Amino acid sequence: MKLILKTKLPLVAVMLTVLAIGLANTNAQDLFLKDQFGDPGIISDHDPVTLSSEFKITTGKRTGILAVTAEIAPNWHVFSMKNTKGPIPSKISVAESKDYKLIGKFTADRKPELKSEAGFDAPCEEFEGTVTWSAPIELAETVDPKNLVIEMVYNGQSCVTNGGCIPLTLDVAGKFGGFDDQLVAKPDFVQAPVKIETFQPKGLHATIKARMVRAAGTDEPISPGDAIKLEITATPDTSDTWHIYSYSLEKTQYMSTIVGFTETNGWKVKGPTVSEAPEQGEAFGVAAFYHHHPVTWTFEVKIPDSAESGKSYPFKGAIGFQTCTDSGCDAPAGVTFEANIPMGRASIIPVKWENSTYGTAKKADKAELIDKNSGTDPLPVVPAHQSDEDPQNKESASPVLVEDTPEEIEAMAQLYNPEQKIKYLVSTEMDENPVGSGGTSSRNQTTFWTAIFGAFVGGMLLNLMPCVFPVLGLKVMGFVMQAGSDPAKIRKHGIAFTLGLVVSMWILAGIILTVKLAMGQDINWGAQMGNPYFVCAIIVLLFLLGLNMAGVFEIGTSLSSVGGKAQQKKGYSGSFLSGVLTTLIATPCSGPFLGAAMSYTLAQSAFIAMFLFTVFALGISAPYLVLSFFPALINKLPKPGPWMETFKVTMAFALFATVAFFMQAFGGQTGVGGLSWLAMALVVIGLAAYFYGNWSESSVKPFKRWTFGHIMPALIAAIGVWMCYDAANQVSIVSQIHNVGGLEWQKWNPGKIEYSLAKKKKIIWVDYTADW
Amino acid sequence: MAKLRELDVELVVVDDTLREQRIARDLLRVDRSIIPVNLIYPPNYPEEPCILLEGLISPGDALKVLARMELIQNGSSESLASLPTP
Repeated sequence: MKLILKTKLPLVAVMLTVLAIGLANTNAQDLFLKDQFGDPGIISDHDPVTLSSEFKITTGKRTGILAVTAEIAPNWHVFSMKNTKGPIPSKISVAESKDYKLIGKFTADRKPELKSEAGFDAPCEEFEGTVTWSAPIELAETVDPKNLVIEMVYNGQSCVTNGGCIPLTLDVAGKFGGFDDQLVAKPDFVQAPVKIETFQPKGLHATIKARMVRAAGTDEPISPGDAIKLEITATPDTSDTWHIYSYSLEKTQYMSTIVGFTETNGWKVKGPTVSEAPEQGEAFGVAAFYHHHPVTWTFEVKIPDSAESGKSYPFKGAIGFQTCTDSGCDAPAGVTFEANIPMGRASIIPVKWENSTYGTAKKADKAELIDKNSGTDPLPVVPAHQSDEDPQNKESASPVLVEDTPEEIEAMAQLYNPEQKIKYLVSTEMDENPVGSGGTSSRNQTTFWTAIFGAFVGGMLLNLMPCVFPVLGLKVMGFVMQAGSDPAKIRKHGIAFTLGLVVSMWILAGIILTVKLAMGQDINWGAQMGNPYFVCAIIVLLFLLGLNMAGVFEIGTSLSSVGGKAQQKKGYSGSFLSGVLTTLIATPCSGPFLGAAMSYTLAQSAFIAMFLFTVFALGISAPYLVLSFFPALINKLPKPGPWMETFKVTMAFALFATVAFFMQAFGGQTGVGGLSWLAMALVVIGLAAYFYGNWSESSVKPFKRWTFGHIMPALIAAIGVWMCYDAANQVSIVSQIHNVGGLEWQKWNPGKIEYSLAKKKKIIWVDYTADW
Repeated sequence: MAKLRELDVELVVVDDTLREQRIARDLLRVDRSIIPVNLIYPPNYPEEPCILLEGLISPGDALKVLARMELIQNGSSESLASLPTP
């Protein structure tokens, strides 16, 4: 539409203006005087409005635009087409014809001016000077536009500024104005109904909704150069007289509502204005400003003329807020919002919400305040008590997390004894220890003794492993042969063998502990179980060992043959060396047991870990000792056979169960996303193990062996390991738990519990957690 | 959550994000080194033991513990009330 005006109309306009000035010279003075006598009706022979019309057709098409231009005499005006209770609106009626039809409504080429007129309650929408209304038309197939004339009747009312009015009924004929290939038949704009979502932000006792709307009204789509309003409405829950804080960028003791913008296309955002002034109350001992009732913050967004019509522009931001009652608060919460503005296609745009954090809004750019005091905190906020928090904590400290004063912390530390064990029951023991039974004290010893027993039995079981078991009988037979029939000598050989085992196990444990020490900080090992990367590594290790035992691939097959040579050596040193070598031989097989035992062992101090390894070694050597003391028992041992293979594969499933157990822990740390990604990683690693197992044997031709047995599995395994790493990167949102329900959490200090128990006699719930 | 409010439970959060030694040491007092751990103290501790919940807590577990604590709390306040006043 604008295109026509730009190309053709200026000439017409100039001509008509000249004409109009001529008319005005002769009549306007005259009219104006007459008007003052309240008798405008007599000027009917010279209408104050002159109409002209033409239509253009899109090249090669049957559609086009019909334009009607009104030239209005100076001091006169006509009204817009909007139907009001006031003056008679402009109306253009097109004569019915089979040659053409209107396919949309007439729209004006510019916005009317809003003016208050005497006699009308509401402001009137007026046009002065020149105005063009245009509407899309479609011609019948058979019609030649050059010969077509479109007959129309204009109905309306024309008035003198601050004066009288005359009704107008004018005929106008639209003539063909030529073809144009740049014509865009502007469809009649009607804003489709928009659903404005009411969002319940997580952790907020209020709902929120927002829309972006064309500031000048919804009768036209948002176009380049327009101003749009972003209206954000928060409705605090009324059930418990919740309130939401006022918008403020000042630093306050409480969490003001803030709105930040993350994606504005460089458009200027100003505001907000607020629908109602905030109430003044108190929060955390300081004056606070908040809203109890639904409140709307309105931001103004100016779209530059350079924006492209037809393009969609994103508009994103974040809101941070906190809701409180008079007695308590929710944690500060946040949401992000996102709107997509289809330029020229909508006048109301809904926004999409997502839960986020207060920090997101805090970090984002803020709108330029229209007036520093409009709707925001009228007063600077004075903290009630001294702020002694260190700068590092300032970022994360939320008012819901209550900290103690330095004096209180001091008093608490006096009561604290880190050596004193806490009397507790785990949840499964609650039923066995009803209230009043007093409960048991710390069971550190119990777990310790259980572990020792486990290590011993584990060591003994290790002898049943296929790579160790066949050795067992031979070994003892060796003692018997060396010692002849002297039972004392047999015993000594047994002891030497045991010593060899224990010493080599110490060395092994020493190596592992040193590696762990170098790897970890000065904290106990089990803490690593809270670290998803560590858990992930354990899972992969156990999974590989499981695959190994299930026979997917073999490791360390060449090691077993070394043992034979050492057995040739005679004497006690030979037996000692056999013990060492048994450890070596057994290590690949014992891996699974060590792996599983490791997770417990590593949770203990280095001393206890060392002790457990010793017990483990004694466990391995126990059968040898027994047999060396009672050689006659050798004949009663089960013979090595296929049953051991069954035993081994069964143990593989035990390992897979362990993997599943650790995966549960991993899932707790990383959520469903991380867990499923890890599961996929295990599949990939399993595939790598399969290739390695099937193609790496020496019987395979070198080329195939290297390609499929080594390079390919290594590549696949690398992908799998990367996937594990990526899975561990998924951070769970466990820490959010503390921020629900508007509960007040206290920050722990050494002695805090003892202090509170002594002082308040209340139930205390202590949550040891971490933000990862 | 409502139950926590009703019982007027004091809530303490131990944030071990930074893996502090003093927290690791405190955890050892309950023979634990892996978080999350929740410890719920009865008002008359150490007469009654704490309850220790490990890992992620189900609402059922939490309510069970709180029910036990409620029993202890009511019991101890009654016994206090029944004490002869001078």
